[in-house]
Amino acid sequence: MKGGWKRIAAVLAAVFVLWAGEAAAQKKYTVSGYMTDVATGETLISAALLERGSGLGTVTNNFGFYTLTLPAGEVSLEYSYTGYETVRKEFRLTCDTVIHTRLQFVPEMLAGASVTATRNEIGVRGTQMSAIEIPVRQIQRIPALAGEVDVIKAIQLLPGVQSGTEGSAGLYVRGGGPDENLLLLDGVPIYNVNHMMGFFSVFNADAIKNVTLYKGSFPARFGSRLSSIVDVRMKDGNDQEFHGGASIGLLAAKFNLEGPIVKGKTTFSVSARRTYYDVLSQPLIAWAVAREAEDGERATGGYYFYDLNAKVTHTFSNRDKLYASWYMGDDDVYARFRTEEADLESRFKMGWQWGNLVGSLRWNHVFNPRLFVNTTVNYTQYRHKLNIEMTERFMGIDNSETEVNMKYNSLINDISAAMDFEYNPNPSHDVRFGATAIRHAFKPSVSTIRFKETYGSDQAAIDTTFGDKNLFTTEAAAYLEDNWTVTSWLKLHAGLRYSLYASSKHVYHSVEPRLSVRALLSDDLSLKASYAEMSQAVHMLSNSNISLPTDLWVPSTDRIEPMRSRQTAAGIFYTPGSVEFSVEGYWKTMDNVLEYRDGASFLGSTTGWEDKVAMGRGWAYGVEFLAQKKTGKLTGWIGYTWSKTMRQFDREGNIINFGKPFPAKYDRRHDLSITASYEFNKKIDVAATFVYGTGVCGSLPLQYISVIHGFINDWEYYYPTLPVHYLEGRNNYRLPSYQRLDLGVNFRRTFGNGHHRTINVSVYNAYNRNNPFLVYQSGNQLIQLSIFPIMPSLSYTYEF
Amino acid sequence: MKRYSIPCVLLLLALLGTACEKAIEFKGEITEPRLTLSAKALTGEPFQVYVASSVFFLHSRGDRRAYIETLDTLRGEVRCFVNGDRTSRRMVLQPEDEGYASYCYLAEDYVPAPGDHIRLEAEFPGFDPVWVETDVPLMPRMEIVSKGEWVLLDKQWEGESDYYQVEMTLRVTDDGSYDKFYCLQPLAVYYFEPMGTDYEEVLRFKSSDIIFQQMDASVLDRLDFETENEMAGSYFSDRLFKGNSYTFKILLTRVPGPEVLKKLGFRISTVNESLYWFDLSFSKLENELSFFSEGVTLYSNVHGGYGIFGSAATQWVEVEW
Repeated sequence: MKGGWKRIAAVLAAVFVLWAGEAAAQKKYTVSGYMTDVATGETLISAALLERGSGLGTVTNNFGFYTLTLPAGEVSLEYSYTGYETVRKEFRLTCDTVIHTRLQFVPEMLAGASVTATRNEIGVRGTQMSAIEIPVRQIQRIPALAGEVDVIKAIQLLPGVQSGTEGSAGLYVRGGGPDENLLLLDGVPIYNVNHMMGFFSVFNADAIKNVTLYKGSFPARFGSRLSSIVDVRMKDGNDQEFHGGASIGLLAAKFNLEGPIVKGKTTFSVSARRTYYDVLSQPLIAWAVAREAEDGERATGGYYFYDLNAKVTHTFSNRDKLYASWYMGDDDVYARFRTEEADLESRFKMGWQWGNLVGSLRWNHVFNPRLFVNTTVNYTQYRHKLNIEMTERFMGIDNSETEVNMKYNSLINDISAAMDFEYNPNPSHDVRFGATAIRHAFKPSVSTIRFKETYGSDQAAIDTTFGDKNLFTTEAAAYLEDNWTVTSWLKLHAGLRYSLYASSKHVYHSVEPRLSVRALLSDDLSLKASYAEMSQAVHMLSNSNISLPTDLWVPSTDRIEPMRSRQTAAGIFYTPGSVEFSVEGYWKTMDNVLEYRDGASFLGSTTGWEDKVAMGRGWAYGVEFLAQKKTGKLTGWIGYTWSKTMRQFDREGNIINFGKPFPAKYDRRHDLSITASYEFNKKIDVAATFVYGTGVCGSLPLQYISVIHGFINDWEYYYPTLPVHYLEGRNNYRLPSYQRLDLGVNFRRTFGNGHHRTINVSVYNAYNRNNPFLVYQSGNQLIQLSIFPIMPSLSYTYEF
Repeated sequence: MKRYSIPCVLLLLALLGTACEKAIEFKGEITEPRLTLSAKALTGEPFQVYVASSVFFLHSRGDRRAYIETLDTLRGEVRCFVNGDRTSRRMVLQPEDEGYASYCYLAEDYVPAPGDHIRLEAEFPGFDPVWVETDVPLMPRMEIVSKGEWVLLDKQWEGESDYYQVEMTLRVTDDGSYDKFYCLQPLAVYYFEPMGTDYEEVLRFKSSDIIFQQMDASVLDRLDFETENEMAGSYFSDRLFKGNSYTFKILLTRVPGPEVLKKLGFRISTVNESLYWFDLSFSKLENELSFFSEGVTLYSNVHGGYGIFGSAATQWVEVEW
């Protein structure tokens, strides 16, 4: 830690000296305000403002607010945003000025040949690298599984991001695990983003305004996860008039509604989604039971999930805005069996639920044109519950009754508060600083078993609860970052984050420097390099490649240290016209990553999870290529990644694979994705996605061998040797490659009253490739299980 | 329209719920059988080597003969070298061990001794030759420093013999030679009335000493659902006290009473690293719990094939009571 304080002091001193030098420059004033959509009043995130004379510019923050300090005198401002008409304002700047600008969405602009030069931090001119913004309109055009558009599935198509097995919603970013992604919904972390075992995510595209993925070069304001930040922002709601829509597909129905509560002041946005697979499957189950079961037997069961998103925004004044957003979603699997015979009555009831509850209250305040603050209070909960009840009653000479009730519970509750400041002291510096504190309450895994048996007048009973103790931990962080325009061609983004994590007896500190450098070689060509350190104090334990609700979130403890990573990346960015090209290479190391020990599982032990896992290290390196076209009739991207991801567990007491390195489960050498959509006219557009990935890894014993017994328990065996299956190393087998082509077409129509309807026809896995979900041995054969064959789907959407 | 809707819904549901299984071709490097050679060089015990063929996992393993039928015992050979010299007599096949899914070879004139360096080689027609080496560790040195009071336990059922808890303080002195592992097992020989004969039993014990906590092997004990942190023998390493003496306490949790007890003591062994890792992985393999469990990697140190060759030196420390 001693070295850490020295690093903090050095960075602060450097920042102070640079500011002091620039303070003596000429008189400057600040232009600030919000940029919104003229029709909906929706704030625009990452919209650009450029002063043409000086070439200075900025972008709006996550709340649509911008601030730009300029030298006094004549200014020519250009407000622009992809797909929107550019607004120009020319005037003499003599004092601090507030300008709220409303931009007009023009669909033809998206179909046009080029975009105005963007100041977006993620593009050629910005310092930010290893980040991608995906327009929600583009996400909505991608052909989707069962017609259900999904944000996470779209992110999986980007270079550097890999999916797990077929259908999984897990994200594996630059060699990181699925728990190393901070998934933020309006700034609030969501622990389990998976519905339906990971086939769908909790992000309902209808409720979403903007999605940004950071894979590296992390700004200091982000922390607490090693591998990525997925920043999802919900719609605020239209402040002028009511709008909405409803959609019905094969699996789910959705609706959304937005509008003003008080025109121009208070808006709301609500969206809901529910699957009805359970409703459709009831007749099938009834039919199957009627066919197979004997008299007196009845059964029912089903599965569904739902999401509810809501947001209310109130504008008090030009200086103050309040946002309240709320999300709730659950998955529910249920089954009931009942048998009634002359002398036997038996009942079985199973309920399995898991879901998230997220709430956030956010206050934006503009102290002055140069200083903006966002204050947030958040609550997030993830719960997982399994309940099994069995009753058997024999009616005979000796009436007997057996009752068994088993419950398994797992819960996380987080309460957090944060203040984030944005300060624009002069044209060369965009400074951000802030602090956050989180109180975690974990109930990792608690099981309750109740057993009662009555036989005549005798009675036996067990009522026991076992599992991990509740754990309360605290996490806090403070950060400072500056986006510094050094010269017209050189720009730096330097930051420092200090994180503190307190478990019951231990306090862990982490000082995390962040640095990004951009050298602009020409207007459309730049080189970038970055370095970022991250730490993470929560871990997810998972035995499988698929996302199960049984995946257990656990905190760092006195024995399990927080994970840490160091990532270095460099790349070249080129935007000759409407196509953005980038090539990035990265090298990442990770410490204190967790894996289950050999033979361990989340089941079957009364002892704590800490005994089941080992701490080790990992490293990953790779090259990513991206060509993205966001405008024109043809839009989409081509992404390719070559990468290698390894793990090694060689610390004493934490040995896995006898200390030798092994490939991570999700190590994939090649990953290619091509996504394209083409708009023939306003009525018809088509889209296609092709994905290819090297198979993921698994552990498969390839030989049976006959060996002697171990030493310590030798006395237990009669025969001197024993045939056993022989697994040579962890993740020694690579599953067959994954490939898939999806096709989709949208038929759109606009009615005279301005309402729209869209009919979407999609085909998932168009050439019916059997992709591996699971490979296992059955007798003398190796069997591959595939879960999604060719799947056509149809959905109908009506918007008003 | 209505007449088509039900079949359509059923068809779509069937598509959604269909999981497709198919046999696939195995694509991997190793499919051919290899020689498996395994042996423990234990001080004072006859030296035996077990040889078998491995069986590719997609071939049948049910028949025990599959492990030995491809071995040509007439032309095959197992060679043993001790401290560089080949043992004076050729290792002989013991045919009665066929039933154990391995052929057993015996070095009739050799009994491992502490400090021996042993090299094994095996060659059988149709298989790559294999070899493996081990160093027999030096004898452990352990003494009983003190014994606590014998505490009578409650009887679990009527007519049962008395059982006691006893705390013991033990001291191990390390020779400082190299990193090694110790294995401690309390043993009791007592008269077992239902059988009417003497019975030898490995006793369980508890210890909160750090030497039992900081090892990979220690996790085995805590993962055992039945024993509630009791150990039926445990490993510890000399890394905390290398070259010095180390004193620690253990609690024997269930010792037969003096009226039936004939012999009480500790089997303390120095175990070489290969045997330790094999032992650890073998125990985990035996205790694999469920479909969801992580696969267990079995330790192997045989070059050109599979199997284990490890060694241990064991001393008996008797408790007087």
